[in-house]
Amino acid sequence: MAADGNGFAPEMTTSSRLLSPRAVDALLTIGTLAGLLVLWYWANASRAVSSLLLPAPLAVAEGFITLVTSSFFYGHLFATAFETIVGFALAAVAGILLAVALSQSRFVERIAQPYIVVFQVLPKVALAPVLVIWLGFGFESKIALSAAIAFFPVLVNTMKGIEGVPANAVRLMRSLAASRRQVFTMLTVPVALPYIFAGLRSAATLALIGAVVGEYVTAREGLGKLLVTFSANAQQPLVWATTAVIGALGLLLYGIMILISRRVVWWRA
Amino acid sequence: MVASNGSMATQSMAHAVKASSSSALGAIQVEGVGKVYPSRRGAASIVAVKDVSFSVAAGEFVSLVGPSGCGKSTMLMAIAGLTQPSGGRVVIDGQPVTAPRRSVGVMFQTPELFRWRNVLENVLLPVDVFGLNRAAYLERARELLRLAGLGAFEHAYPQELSGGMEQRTALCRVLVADPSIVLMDEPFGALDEFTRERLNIELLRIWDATRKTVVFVTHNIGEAVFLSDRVIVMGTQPGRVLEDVQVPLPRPRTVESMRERPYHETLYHIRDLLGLSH
Amino acid sequence: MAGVSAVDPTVESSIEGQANARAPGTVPGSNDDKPGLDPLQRRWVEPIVSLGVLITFLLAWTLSSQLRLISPLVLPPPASIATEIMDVVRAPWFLGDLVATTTETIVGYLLAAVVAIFLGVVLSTFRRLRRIVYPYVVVFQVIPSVALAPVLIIWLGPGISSKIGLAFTISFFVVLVNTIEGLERVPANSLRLMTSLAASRRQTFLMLSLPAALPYVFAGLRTSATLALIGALVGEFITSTAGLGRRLVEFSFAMKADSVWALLVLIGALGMVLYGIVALIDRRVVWWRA
Ligand SMILES: Nc1ncnc2c1ncn2[C@@H]1O[C@H](COP(=O)(O)OP(=O)(O)O)[C@@H](O)[C@H]1O
Ligand SMILES: [Mg+2]
Repeated sequence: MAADGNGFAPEMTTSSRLLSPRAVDALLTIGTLAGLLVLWYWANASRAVSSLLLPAPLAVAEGFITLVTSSFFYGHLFATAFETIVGFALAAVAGILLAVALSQSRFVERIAQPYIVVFQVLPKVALAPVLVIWLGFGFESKIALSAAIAFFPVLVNTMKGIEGVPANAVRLMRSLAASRRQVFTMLTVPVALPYIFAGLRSAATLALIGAVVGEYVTAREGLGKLLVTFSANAQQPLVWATTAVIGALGLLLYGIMILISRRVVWWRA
Repeated sequence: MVASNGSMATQSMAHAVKASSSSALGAIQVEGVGKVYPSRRGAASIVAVKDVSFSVAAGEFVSLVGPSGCGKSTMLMAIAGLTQPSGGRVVIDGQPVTAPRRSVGVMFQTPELFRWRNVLENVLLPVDVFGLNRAAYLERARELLRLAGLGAFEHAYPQELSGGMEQRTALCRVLVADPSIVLMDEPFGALDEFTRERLNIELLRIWDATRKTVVFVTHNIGEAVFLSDRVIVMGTQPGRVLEDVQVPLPRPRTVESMRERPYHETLYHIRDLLGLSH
Repeated sequence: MAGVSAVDPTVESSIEGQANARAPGTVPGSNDDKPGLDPLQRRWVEPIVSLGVLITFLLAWTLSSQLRLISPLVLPPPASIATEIMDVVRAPWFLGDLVATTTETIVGYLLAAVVAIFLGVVLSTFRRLRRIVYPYVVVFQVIPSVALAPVLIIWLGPGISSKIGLAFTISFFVVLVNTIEGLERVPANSLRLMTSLAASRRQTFLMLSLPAALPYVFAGLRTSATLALIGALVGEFITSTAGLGRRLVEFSFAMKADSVWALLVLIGALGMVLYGIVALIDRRVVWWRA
């Protein structure tokens, strides 16, 4: 291993090493995970930790296989994914449209500003029980919660992006006698896009949170509902497996957003 | 960095650009222009400029010089139609300016290149905005770029350019649609002295060949004297014209012009006007 | 927790952007000369119109309730919500629930803040460690931490501790990531300046890195203030012995629309107060930002 940071290894040049320091670090990253797994395994095997609190790694793996090979799992997965994606899409469209509409008039924007700030700070998850009562136990209430939570980052970021258009760039366009529409499509949209995508990335994760929380409260199906059920039945390995699935879904959504955003706003790098 | 083929290249750049309009368009009259900005927080409003009058003949190169805050940019924006004077008016070729027009191009201190357009596409921006046929201007844009020493960079993105190259691109952009008036607001102010001087020389060559009307804002007195037929010296509080100074240097000018006596005399005269000598 | 990752252009721009109010001409198509309103006028007109919008909204709401356009079972008129708020506040259970939720939020939040800032400092001091651990930080930041709620309840029981745990988890990563980011972005020349003065590591940290990172840290702390309350509420939704979240679910299923809305308003107010306190401290501590 490298003698990093102690400053007493002047002879060690990177070129003479078998692996670059980056590769060593990457290995250590993986090693950390492996170490944690071993620790986890040992904690259970030695009964240092009750399997009620933390089931053994193999039990969780088994639980995971039980879960993904069960007939009911995909219905729940689909429900959560569907709620998340629809909620996200609604939030994205509404957030972007409202931001563009507000930016058309500075007066209206300033009037709206205090309301946006207030609603942004409110804990939207508190709406979960109400939405269930209003819209029923089905997916509508989860979509609504999802959208409500994901909406504000899109709105706020889009507004910020539109505001971020440099004054001189606007003057340049106007000196060319560009129409409002031309300024919008040729300048405002490209400038705002990186911000919009930052908002959409946040929104993707938040939409999933909205769906899961909605399902916690009551639902016919969905991963959140599954999680609560397993938890109530003390099926610990399945609880852990389901938690991992939700985590993976979150990562996947985020990854997709990153990929799309790299494609669309390629010039950011 | 900056192209070393400067002098020869710009000679021919001038020819390439000359091609089009040679009609004597581009005369500017500034008639008693004043500009008051309402200040923030309801305090007294700011009188940016007060009763400024001067005129620029078609094909003339005129600089506005003065300390910062004296209203140089404000005057330029008024000529560009980007801001409306609170009093007086600006007349271009007999017509009062009420809005930006295609025949007037503006260049800012910041290049304002669009990061999502490559160099060539940035140069073609006016063509796109005017709704002209890109194909018809492609050769001209390429020619301008080549002669600005950026021929190899047409597919590069602004992020990959040095400051000097960015401003060269901006210069090509302002010229591509052949405006009769070019307004420049401290265009090279953010560049280092060497780059600035080289770009000034290139600018003069282009101007010599095209004889577009140029209004050039700077706070560098030497630069103003070297470039201009006349230097309009402005003072602050409120922004106003102190003197309209003729530059008695013959054209075409070269670096050698800066060694000549009239250059120094004019320079010191302007320094005196601005109270810099003591 | 992700979602509201405070770094990224989002808050980055709010750090620098908030102060320099929109330059004139930034609105596409706007004219430098037409700031909309005279600033004097603006000072009076805008708040009045803002208030007018609110009043109009409340009137329209009342009217549509009276005309039975909205069922009072779904959305009671503002007046009944207002009266109900008074009743809820006076109810014997209210104080206990308020204290429970507030405690969960604040304890979870403070723990998260202290641990995250400490860990952030450690990780940015030992860069090697940071490189090794950072992938996990990123992953956990993106994973929806509310999914951990059932696990935390198994671990910490249905009482207050599991909610503190969730409030902690949900607010931890934003602060951590922002602290690291802030410490990372100390301008290189400022660091060189401190080195040229032969400053000790400690001096460099206290005189430069810490103040330079504070705006980022506080951006994270602001975001996580809201998140901590969300964590507490979600935990209470699932199982709990006390708290406003639990009461909210109870009232919802009992179809007590008035009480539900009264509680929603009160929870909203709690969120605003918590955020407000952090924002106030932020403004005091990082006074040089404005
Ligand atoms: N949009 C504006 N709002 C308020 N005051 C302005 C605005 N633009 C310029 N000013 C003021 O007008 C004066 C002249 O500014 P400017 O034309 O930019 O001067 P210069 O370009 O010579 O430095 C300055 O005092 C400046 O503060
Ligand atoms: Mg200026």
